[in-house]
Amino acid sequence: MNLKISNNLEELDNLALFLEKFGEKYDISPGVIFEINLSLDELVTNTINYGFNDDNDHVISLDMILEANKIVIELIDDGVMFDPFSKPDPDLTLAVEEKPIGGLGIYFVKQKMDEWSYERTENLNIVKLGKNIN
Amino acid sequence: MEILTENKDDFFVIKIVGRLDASTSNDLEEKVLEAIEDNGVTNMLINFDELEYISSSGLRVLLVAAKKLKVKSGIIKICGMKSHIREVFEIAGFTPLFTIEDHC
Repeated sequence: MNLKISNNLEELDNLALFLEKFGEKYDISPGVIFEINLSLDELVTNTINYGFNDDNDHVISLDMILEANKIVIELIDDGVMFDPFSKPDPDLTLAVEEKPIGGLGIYFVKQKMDEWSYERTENLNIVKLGKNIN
Repeated sequence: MEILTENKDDFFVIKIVGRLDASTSNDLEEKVLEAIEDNGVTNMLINFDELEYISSSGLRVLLVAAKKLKVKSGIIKICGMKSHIREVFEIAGFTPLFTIEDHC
């Protein structure tokens, strides 16, 4: 299944609806759909907030397929080159006073997905994710 | 997302209904900052009974509230967290920052 959204945070609702439909079509548990929703939400939110240097409309494209025991996801945008997985994981042990604001989103992706990768091809950012299912 | 507020006992109660993500977290942040900075709230209870979804943008607002209330020696409680949302709190290392109550 494919979804195209524009670079507008209100599209997060359409992302959620699309994932619900994917879950119904392929009989995926709500828990897994939640984990995929959280991961894609974090990636798409970063792209919308920081990925574009102009005021133009951009399309973010999502492709999802179900393989034997795995959901394979590809997320493509034409924003500035950015590898979301390049940053170190946050220090979760800090007390409330020291805890930095932000920096958790990509950590969630790494916790919830089984595979993740980034590539830059011409002017496109391509993020691939894999989620194993039983 | 819908935000309902009330004063109950010694707490300012914020009930969040629906999905708390980057498109809705600014509304919550406004309510939280108004309560703490303009209205002098020190004890806050956040009702998650009808919260269906949270992303790191939602956690960010809760961390801002926790930091501000910590400085005022205030209390921040969260009640009614669904299990998938509690799991997000645990992954983020957020559970120790709040008093978490199962039932509201």
